[in-house]
Amino acid sequence: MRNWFENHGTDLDIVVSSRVRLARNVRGVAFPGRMTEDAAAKLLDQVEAALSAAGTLSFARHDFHKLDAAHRGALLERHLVSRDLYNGRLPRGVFLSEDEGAAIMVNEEDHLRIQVIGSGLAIADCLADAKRLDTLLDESLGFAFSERLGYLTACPTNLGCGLRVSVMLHLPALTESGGIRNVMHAAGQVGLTVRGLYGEGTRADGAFYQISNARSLGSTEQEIAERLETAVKSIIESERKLRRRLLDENKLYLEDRVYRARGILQSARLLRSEEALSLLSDLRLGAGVFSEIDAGQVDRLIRQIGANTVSLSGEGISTAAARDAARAELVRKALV
Amino acid sequence: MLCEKCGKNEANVYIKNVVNGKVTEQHLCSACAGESGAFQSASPFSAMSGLFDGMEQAFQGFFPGHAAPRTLSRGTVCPVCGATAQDIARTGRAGCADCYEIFAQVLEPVIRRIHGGAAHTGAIPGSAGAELSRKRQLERLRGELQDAIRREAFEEAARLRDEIRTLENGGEAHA
Repeated sequence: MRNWFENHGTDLDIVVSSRVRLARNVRGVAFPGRMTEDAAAKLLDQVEAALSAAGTLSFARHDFHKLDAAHRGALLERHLVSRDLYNGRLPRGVFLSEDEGAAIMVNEEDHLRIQVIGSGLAIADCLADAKRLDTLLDESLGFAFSERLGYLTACPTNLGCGLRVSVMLHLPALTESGGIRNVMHAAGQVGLTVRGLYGEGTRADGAFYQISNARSLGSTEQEIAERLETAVKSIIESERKLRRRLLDENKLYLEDRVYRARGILQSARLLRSEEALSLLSDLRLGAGVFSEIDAGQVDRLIRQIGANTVSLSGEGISTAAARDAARAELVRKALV
Repeated sequence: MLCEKCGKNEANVYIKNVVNGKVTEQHLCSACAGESGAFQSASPFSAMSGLFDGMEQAFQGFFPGHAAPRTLSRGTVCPVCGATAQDIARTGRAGCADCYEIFAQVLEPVIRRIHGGAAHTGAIPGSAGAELSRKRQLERLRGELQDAIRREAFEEAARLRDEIRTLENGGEAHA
């Protein structure tokens, strides 16, 4: 049998990662918005007990109310926790599996946010793991549920399955051709949301996007997963078609862009995070086209270049300049 | 003439009930008449309120949601989380799972706006599976209780009341 949380999916040239999130609350306990500190602290302990009782699973507990800003920021940059958990006021935290493929947030907007993350397109496997965790935690905690409304959540938007499936996509060709606007429009028509993953507002730095379902009341988990997968596959086809056309019509331009980015990344001594992200995006454009470009390696680097993550990578990296130097060094070492 | 119930205010309401040929008459003040629910003829208790005040007291706690639809007064506070309708309207969030029932009047229109008339079709948690069947059994027993009271089958009603009490306290009903 496959190990827990080692979800390696398909279409890595375009899909960075897949994520399944289940929103759950414990029966008879006020939601985090109205929860006492004592109840919040107790829930953290109950989740820990439930997870350790499962034996085979190994989770590390990170209490956010005790963690310094850099460690909290690093978890936020790697998309393992949300901004709401980062900014919260209650005793709260995240339980991370060893490979960081599962991250259970406690006392965010809901009592529990069970997240399972896999590389590439791996929705079905992530969903299966999330449901196993869901069943395990329900046995000891008892989740709030109504026949008609499904899992009861703080925000009425999340009622139903409490499920959000999201896929992170790298779409440089669709971004530059302007086709991304059609993608966003079409996604909206079928109840899906597309947003830029990095950058503010509508700007999508590095052409990374996240597509997810907006609602989960009235559909089964499988229906939601299949609907999203169908949409993602058609986006993948569009992006591939545009990349192939670029290769056919202007191979030199494509080669120049990919290898110029690699040259800078291999040589730079100072790298700001936005510049690093933009260059890594250009390098990733070569994945699936030039065999020596490894999308997985680029994705690992993207997870390492955030300001907080870089600060924690060594001693005395406290200024912006020191971070830029440390960032350049870690990228250079990875790409030689 | 003073009110027969409180003995303080002037009686200005005259109530005459005929139940199975038995006639009862009451002279009440308007406040006591309102409290006794004498004018809510839809309620199974209203016609009988004068006949067995004690019985009504004993039964009404068992089906607050059935005797009359739950109406939301300004001062309604969720007993689990302390939220008010104003809190929910302000934050756009329920305070706890029970708020969805207590503040249905506030939340239902919001839910309809977001989800249309959709009902849940996905997974049911294992723990709620048992809870759901308990809930359905309680609903059935409460219906039978109402029916028994309507028929004035008080022995049966008392038995049903005990069963409901057992089930509500987490025990197994024997019916």
